[in-house]
Amino acid sequence: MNERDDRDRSPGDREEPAADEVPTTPAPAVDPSPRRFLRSRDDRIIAGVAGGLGRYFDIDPVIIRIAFAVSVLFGGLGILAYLAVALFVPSDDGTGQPVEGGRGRDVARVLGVIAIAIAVFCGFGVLVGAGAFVTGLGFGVPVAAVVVLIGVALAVLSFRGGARWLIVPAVALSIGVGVAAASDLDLTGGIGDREYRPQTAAAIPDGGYELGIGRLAVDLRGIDWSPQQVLDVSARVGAGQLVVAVPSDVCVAADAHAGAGDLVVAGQQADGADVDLTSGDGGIGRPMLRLNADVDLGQITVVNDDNADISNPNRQWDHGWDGGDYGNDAAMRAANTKACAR
Amino acid sequence: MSPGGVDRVSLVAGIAFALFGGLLCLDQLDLIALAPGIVAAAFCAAAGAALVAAGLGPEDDDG
Repeated sequence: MNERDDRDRSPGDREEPAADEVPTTPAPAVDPSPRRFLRSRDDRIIAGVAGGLGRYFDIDPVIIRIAFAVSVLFGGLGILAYLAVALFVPSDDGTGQPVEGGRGRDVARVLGVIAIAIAVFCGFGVLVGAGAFVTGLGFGVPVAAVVVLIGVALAVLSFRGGARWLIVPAVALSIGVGVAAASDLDLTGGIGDREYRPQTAAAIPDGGYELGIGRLAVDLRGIDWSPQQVLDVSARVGAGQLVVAVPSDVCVAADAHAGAGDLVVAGQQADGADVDLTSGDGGIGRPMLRLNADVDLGQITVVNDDNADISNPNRQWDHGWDGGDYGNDAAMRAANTKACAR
Repeated sequence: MSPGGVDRVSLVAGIAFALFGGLLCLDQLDLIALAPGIVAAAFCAAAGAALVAAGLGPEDDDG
């Protein structure tokens, strides 16, 4: 009988000697050495670490497995701890005694499982991205049809033993197409980092500016704005960042929309999914930019600042408007309010 | 696995994702316009159905 079995039994279950019975054997000596932590041979999924910890601390190993899984979300320290235990702590032989050797095999097994998990995770991400990308290019129907086909295949194969692995691509493609559909993602228009600095109003294309993926910067500060000039400009980015800059004395009347992301228009800010932002009421009779801006996934930034450097791509996604390249949102809001009210 | 040889998880997940894919098809064909909240809810329903099917457990199959 091992120590665990003995501990699990209630006192009433233990065999007590009768009162008139004289013990003929001496009581076993108490082992002064502490209990040894060993990986479990019988209760293991990968290397028996959670099973061993559960037995050592007398708690359900499932709780420890959940803790390891959750720790992955917080920097992956749990994986390192698991690897360390798998490497340095021997496994038991089923009777509570350590088995020397075999650690290399266990570590190889752990590394193999981690490699497979990383491969599955990367493959999943690639499928999500590919689904969204292809849908954004205008081929959403075929991708959605693939999801339907996978679903039908799953249902049909369920009568022949099942094919649960098909659930993974079904989920990944569903997420990709779903995100693209929800945000009306449109990735036509090219990929890259583009910057336009028109020097006259006539240089602004009638169809506006467009970019599929990347960063689109439109700097309108080189235009000689007349006192009552009104410029209509439209700009669209599928996924990425749109930056539009005007002089500080130009009123920005913007109609901005983001399928999912962040809008910072002349100092006003809004973020979330399917978010709209309008600004610049009352600017009639002043130099005015009437901007129609749209980003499916990402950020729109409209800057009224004579000196802001909009060529710095490192500013993208930076919400710390602390007087840096784009100035600060309060100053820009004040500038735009002043420009629209003069 | 059910007594009849049907893998319940595959069956439920297959039906759920076929329906979800059909919904996405209709959206991509511009026959309907799915709001982000509807897409998220529909996806959660599909994934949730598969998870519920998986969580019913083998003991139910015996009964």
